[in-house]
Amino acid sequence: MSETELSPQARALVEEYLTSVRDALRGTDLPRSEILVDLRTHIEEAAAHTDGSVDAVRSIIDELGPAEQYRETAEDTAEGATHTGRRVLGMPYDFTPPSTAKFAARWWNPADPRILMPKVWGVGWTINFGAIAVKLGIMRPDDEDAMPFGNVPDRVLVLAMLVPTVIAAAGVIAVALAWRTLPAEVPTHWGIGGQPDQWGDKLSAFGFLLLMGAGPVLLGWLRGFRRGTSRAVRAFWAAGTVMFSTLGSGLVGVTIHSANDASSEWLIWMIIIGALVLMFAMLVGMSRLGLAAEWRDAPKLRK
Amino acid sequence: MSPVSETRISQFRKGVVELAILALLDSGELYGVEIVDTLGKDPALAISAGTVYPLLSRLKKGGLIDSVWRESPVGPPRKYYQLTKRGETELEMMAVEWTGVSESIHRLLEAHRS
Repeated sequence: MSETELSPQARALVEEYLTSVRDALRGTDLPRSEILVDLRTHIEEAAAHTDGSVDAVRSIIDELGPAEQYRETAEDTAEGATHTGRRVLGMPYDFTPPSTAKFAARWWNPADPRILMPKVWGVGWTINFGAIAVKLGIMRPDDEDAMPFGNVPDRVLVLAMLVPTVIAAAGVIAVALAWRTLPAEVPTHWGIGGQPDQWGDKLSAFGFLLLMGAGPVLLGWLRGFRRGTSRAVRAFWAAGTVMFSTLGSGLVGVTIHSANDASSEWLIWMIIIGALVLMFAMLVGMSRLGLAAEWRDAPKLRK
Repeated sequence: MSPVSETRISQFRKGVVELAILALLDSGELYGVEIVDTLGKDPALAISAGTVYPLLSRLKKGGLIDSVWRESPVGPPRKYYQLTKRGETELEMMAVEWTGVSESIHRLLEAHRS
């Protein structure tokens, strides 16, 4: 690139702008350094066609808009990319870091009628519970804004997070109560028909299940509910961990039940379906309570 | 069709639908179903709810439109959409661009036919 010498003031202006964009991008999951390099290149190339004065650089920057707006545009583009989805063996995959925008676009996106969405992270699909709610007539496609759960009362979110907590705790209590009566070896795997076909040491079997149920819940309280997280983040942690805790505690129940050779034909399927239904109910419930709060506070809610 | 050109066409379509929504809202506020019904009725546009709602959400996020809740005679409150100042400016600019593009295409097609 032919160097038009930027005046020191102009250079300072560029640095100042890049710093403000860097700050605005902090806390997002966007590839910050790549964006900043692109942005710097863009400004420098545009400036090369000018006299390199402060005014010329200022007009280039004005055209890009304030840092906040730049972040929104960048997020919008990232969100758009999540929809096109790359594919491997016919399955979509996505290994970009999970972000709240991605959860909103794929787990709870009533505006989009597609029920199967690419996973937030990994290979395969995830369920867009928002589309199901719309199909069932429980929600309208535009009941939520681009970032959902924005008006859910804070105590509702805490109560929501208590649901997976209680379920995970129930699993721990069940194991504690049944421990003495359990044989040393318990079922660890079941066939399609629900008959145990693998057995294992009870400490590791239950340890694994309890970790699967309680681990995410603990993370939810520590990371999802730490100070300053958005309501959407909290709602997604509550709904997501309910899935894990229900599966974990449910399988604890099945293990205890079938440890004495009892069959559990449909129990496992019930638990999987139950976990999905519960997650759905949590998302719908939080969304509706958020809407109720929004309607109550809407200054323009009139005929 | 290659994925790239598919994306390009869908981008193009998106732009047209955006323009259609903004133009529709220019004559007054409407709620979602009204927008979907009006745009869906036009066979040339053939825009479905699945296209309209994500775009409404995007336009709102971009600050071109805004929404208010209003009581409905039947059922729960409805979300009404209206143009913002920025949306009005954007609509004007897009309309000028669109007219330019469509006139050029029209001219090209005329030349092709004769």
